[in-house]
Amino acid sequence: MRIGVFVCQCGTNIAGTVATDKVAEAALAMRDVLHAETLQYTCSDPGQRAIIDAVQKKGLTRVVIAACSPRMHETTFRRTIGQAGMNAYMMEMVNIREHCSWIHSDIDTATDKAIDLVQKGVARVRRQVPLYSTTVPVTRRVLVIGGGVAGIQAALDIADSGLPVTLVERGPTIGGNMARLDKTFPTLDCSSCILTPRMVEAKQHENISLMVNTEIELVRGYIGNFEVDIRKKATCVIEDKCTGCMICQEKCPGKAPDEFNAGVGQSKAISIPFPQAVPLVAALRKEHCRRFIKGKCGVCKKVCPADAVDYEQEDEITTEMFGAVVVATGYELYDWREAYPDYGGGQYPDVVTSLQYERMLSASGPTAGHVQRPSDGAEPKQVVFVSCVGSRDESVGRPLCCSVGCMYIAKQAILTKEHIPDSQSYVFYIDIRATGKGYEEFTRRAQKEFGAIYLRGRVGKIYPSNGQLVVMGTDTLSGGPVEIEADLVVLATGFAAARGAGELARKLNISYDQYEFLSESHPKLRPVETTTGGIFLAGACQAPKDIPDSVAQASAAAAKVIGLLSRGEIETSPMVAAVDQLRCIGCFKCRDVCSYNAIEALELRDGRQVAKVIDSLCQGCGVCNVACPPSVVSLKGYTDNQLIAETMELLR
Amino acid sequence: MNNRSRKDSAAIKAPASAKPGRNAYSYFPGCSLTGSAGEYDASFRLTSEALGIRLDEISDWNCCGASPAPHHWSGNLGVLLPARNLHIASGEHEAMVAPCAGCYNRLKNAQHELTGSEELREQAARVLQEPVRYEIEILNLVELFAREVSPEALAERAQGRLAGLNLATYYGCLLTRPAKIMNFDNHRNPVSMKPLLRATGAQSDHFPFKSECCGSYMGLAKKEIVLRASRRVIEVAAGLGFDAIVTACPLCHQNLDLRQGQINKAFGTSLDMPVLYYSQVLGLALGLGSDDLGIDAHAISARKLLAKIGKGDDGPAAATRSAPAATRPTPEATRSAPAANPASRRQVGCG
Repeated sequence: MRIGVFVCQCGTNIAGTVATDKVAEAALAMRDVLHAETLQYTCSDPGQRAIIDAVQKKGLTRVVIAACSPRMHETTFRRTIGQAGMNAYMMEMVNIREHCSWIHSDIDTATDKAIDLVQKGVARVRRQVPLYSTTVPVTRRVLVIGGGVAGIQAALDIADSGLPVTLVERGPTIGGNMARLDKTFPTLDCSSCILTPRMVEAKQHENISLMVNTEIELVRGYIGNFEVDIRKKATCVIEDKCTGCMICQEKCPGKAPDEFNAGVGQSKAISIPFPQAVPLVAALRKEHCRRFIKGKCGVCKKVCPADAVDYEQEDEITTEMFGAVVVATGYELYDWREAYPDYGGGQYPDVVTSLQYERMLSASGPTAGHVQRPSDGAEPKQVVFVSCVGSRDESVGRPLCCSVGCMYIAKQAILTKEHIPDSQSYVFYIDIRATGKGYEEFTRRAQKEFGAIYLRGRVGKIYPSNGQLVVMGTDTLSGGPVEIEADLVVLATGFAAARGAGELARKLNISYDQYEFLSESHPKLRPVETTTGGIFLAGACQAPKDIPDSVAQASAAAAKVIGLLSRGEIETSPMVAAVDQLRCIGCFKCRDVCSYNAIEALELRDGRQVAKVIDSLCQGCGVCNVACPPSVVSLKGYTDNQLIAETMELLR
Repeated sequence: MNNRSRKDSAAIKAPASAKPGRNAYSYFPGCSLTGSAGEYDASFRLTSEALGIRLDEISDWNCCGASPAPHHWSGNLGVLLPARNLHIASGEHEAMVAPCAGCYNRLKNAQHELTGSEELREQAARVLQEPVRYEIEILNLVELFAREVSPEALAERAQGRLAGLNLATYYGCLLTRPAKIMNFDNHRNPVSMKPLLRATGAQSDHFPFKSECCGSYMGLAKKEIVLRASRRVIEVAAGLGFDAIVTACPLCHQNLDLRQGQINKAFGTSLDMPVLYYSQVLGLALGLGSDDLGIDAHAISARKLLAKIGKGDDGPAAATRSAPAATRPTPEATRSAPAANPASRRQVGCG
């Protein structure tokens, strides 16, 4: 056995605190170590060449590299020793940067610790065996979850590359929140005018199969081959037959909340959310339908000219294979009511959310673009905007910035002036965050050209008085309390993850943060990947985002998917679990604990049932290793005897 | 406990549905309740007794420490004074009640500071000449009633006596802040009074100014601040159509009630908003007499309000109001239906 140890200085990152020469010197005295040297930057070209030289000249069979975290450069060095003619897994990385030099200040102590860590690495590498990866073919089909602007963009980009895409949307139409917006900042483009062509394109694209009223039931499998159960919810309408004539909606006697209009106005139990919905198909909500509540009624079925209504319809679950998944589940507005009793907690009808106000401004909204306050239908003259409701507010547990509130307030203040020329808008803000292209200029316009009065401070209380609302706040610039008698108060409510985002994340086995926003693999360098291979993120499901950012991320996710599936097959990690079948007692505890369904039963010739690992599914998490009562499951590259040898070395 | 209240409340027998004497508490009256807020003390004792709650006044209690002198100027006196009260009370009962919001606030803060500082505990031990005990649970009377009285039981006894009233709950600041120490329901929207108030038959709509500042003790240094702050609270309550403001703090009461005349004088307003203690309202609901509860001791007369629930002097309105009361089944209820004969109102207390 011929072991080489390479100690990285990482400039002064390591050498500033660890005497790397001493570490190399100490390494030379360790068992089977034939070669040890320090290198200024091991990951650099000369550094890698030095490793290859040493391997080839001294005939090294194992290599220990004491440098940074394996998360940084393990793949780099595997490739290096591969080039030197070794098996890429006959190597061990010892982290003497994050685990040592960066966290200590005393040189002697840090050096001693680095030597101990190298000793540990040497003990482990002595027990390494060559490992070989295999390849598995991939399914060249893609699942996109969520039909908002991000999902549509990702689906179109992927479909344009020739890959078949299934676009799944939970609601009755694609379009997401963007379809509800009146105008977009900072250009004041009509939101639906720019979105609906993309919606139609998605519907008509030959490579996109669009499924609405559909949710993800169960996900199995692994990068390249996901097996997904998809639940198509019963809507009591046969999609192929429905012509979107809306006669059923007109005649339906059952009132229902208007979700598309954010609760402004009312809808019917059977309805189409808006005239440009894609697909233009009605859906029936059983919880509001007289037939299902009271057992009487059948008007929609009677009036439907296409005979598309079917009360007996049931949920359908289909199972499909996909090579990659793009999650684009978007956001919803934070429900402010419970957390803000000071603003009336939802009791005052004239305190509305920004999305409700958006629908009141929209020409296709329930008031046809005439701004009417909910309490009495009067046109408001004094409109107060309150920033950061449910965002940047630690007292309600939401310290995050919604990133778009400042901009949409400026937009809504401009639109208010356009709709009601003799109106006055007031904006309470903490800071004006306008960092995008043309954004700062836009917020200035709202003030200078459209006369919105900006007051820097929070609103403490809103209360009704003489048919108006009194908004009590502070103006921290003039240093005094402010009170405004408002006809309408618009709360710039922050972003929350879409309802059920965490549940979906658990099905997909991807991680999420405390607000249920889905987590990217690396905040800088892997912004669209998740920690699970083959699953990518797009849009506001990851963090609050505006439209351009969502679209950009969607295209990035699409590029990743296309890159992944263009190869046709993918290499699997050889560091997977293995069962010693001679000693396996067939209790299948390993199968019970496996999150990846990577263990199956195998019948031996003598009729004995034993566990078998499906290499292509195993993620090498090691849970089965721990669960196995007779300890006969081991993880390749992390076997028990390797870990014990390491530990013994430290305890010595 | 003073003799009057014991004698008075003996007349009110609890019906079988409410278990009497369920729990006993150490009672810390503090200076306000022995002086300017005597009616708060009287109504609290009467109501508690009627509800079967035993109060044992803490023996030899001293200043709670909340007055400006120890609190602001004398370093640790603001902790050591309440520490002695906590120490004595901890030896008597598992929980104590401090109806004054200022006492309640200071006692809880002192307990919090003692928990976090060994130095303070040692200092307290030196003063007390034994290891300080401070673990007793500290309640305000709002919390006490919420714990001891179920809305259903109260509703059964109140028989809708206060129907027709809309009462604004006013918590002020001392009960709820600092939120992490006081732990008093929800500091941004306290609601603890509401269930029992509604059980009296009264209405209690959302009062947006329920935790707004009354001006506190700025009445001493800068009276205008108090007048301005309290004016708002009263005006908003009046604007929303409330019949009275219900409070559990003597200082709030002083600013809202006693200074209401000063407010009217300073601003030329004509505010006329009764301000009642929570214990007085519950006492009224139980059929106790308004003078025993000290309601007529307030600066702003509650006569109109009492008339509205059939306790006023104007006969006909009162008679119609109390008509359902006459059909009440329990004997004690009949006795305490005073409206038909104003004279009988006075007899309630004496039995």
